Amino acid sequence: MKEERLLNVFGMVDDKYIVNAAPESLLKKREKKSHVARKRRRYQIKMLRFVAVLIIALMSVWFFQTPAGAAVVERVQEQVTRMIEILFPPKEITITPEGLTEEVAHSAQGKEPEADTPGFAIYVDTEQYTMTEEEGIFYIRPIEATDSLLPAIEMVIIELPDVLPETAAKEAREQMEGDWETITEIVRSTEPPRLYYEAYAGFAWDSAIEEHYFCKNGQQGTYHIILRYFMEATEGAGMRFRAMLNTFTVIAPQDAIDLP
Amino acid sequence: MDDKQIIDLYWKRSETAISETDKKYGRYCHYIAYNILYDEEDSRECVNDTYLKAWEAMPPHRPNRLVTFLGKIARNISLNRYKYNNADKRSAGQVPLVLEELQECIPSAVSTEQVIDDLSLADIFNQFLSGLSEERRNIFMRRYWYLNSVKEIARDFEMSESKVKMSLLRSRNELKQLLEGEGIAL
Repeated sequence: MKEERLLNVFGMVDDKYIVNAAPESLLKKREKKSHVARKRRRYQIKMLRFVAVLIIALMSVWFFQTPAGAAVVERVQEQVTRMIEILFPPKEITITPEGLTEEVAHSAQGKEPEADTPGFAIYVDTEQYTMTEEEGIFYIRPIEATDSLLPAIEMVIIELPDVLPETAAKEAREQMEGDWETITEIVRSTEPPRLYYEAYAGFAWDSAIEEHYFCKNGQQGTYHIILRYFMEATEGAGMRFRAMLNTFTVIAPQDAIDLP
Repeated sequence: MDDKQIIDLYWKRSETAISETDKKYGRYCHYIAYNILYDEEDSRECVNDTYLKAWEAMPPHRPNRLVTFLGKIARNISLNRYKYNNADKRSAGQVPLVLEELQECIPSAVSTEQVIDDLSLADIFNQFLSGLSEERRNIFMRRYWYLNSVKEIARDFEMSESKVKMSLLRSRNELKQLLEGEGIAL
């Protein structure tokens, strides 16, 4: 019967739909547990931060009375009032990873503009991710190490000073051809203005995915931003990265402000 | 024990593979079987047959996802058992109701042009599922993959039974439209 065939063939649908629909009590216990553990960990981190701030405050009261302490005050002020922190104060961003709405604290990080070169700011979920700079390239990666057998989970921010976004996107896409199973066409979005394309290594749960974004750096150059994760992490790390990416802002040299 | 370790046990032909599978996914397989068969003893047998099939398949097979690999086997075995048990009659449980509902998805003969194989049809189902909202997709999957009753779905999704029925009705209509749009005959 035709309806029996439908029922049987329906059994062959993609694994991700089967797992996502599974009753929580049967399969998602571990995920749920890890969600609770994550919340608990965040609370512990908040408490630790509070205690650390309290200790530092008490020590500072004593330390800054001394001559050595007074000399340090000026340097500390300089660090604390960094331009990016002034322009982009910490904020909570609403995201919905794996269907669960969360208010996640984000802090702005980035590169400060100089006299003739632009900088950028991006809000990072610093409880779960860390941003590092390696030879002029910025990486945002999970704090907790991921399984080394799985594709990388990271966001990469590269500045290409003398290449326009159109050229950068075309060249980057061409270089990837042949190595990836599927590469989408380059698409132009207007809000925010940027070019992007996606690459898929396959459609298995652990197949690598890359999202490539290209936007002007405020001059004649480009910021090339790459989101790397894998199929299973689309609704998790992928969504968190996109939430961070949406806050990416180029800071033009003329927007630099003089710090006191 | 993680899935990779369990699969390795199958590949090493260690009988511990079965007990570890049962420990981790026994309840899941039983849930699938019981929703189809509505019989404790038959369900337990189907779960054991699932482990046997998995034992026969690994090696050479190395599933990407052990949970869905087992789930699909359990579902197939249980549907076959259901058919065998009810060759000449329709019994209690969700299967007859689900089959009746699925009749609504069958494209009308006039609009159909091509008969396609099961794999291509599964691709169309995937396309259909990807177009649904997450909630509607999960409701649809719970009804037609896990064969949950409407009451169970309403309880798990914290909504009224009528809302679940409405969601399923809309999804079935959309599936029918998609099949007709593609000119597919079953």
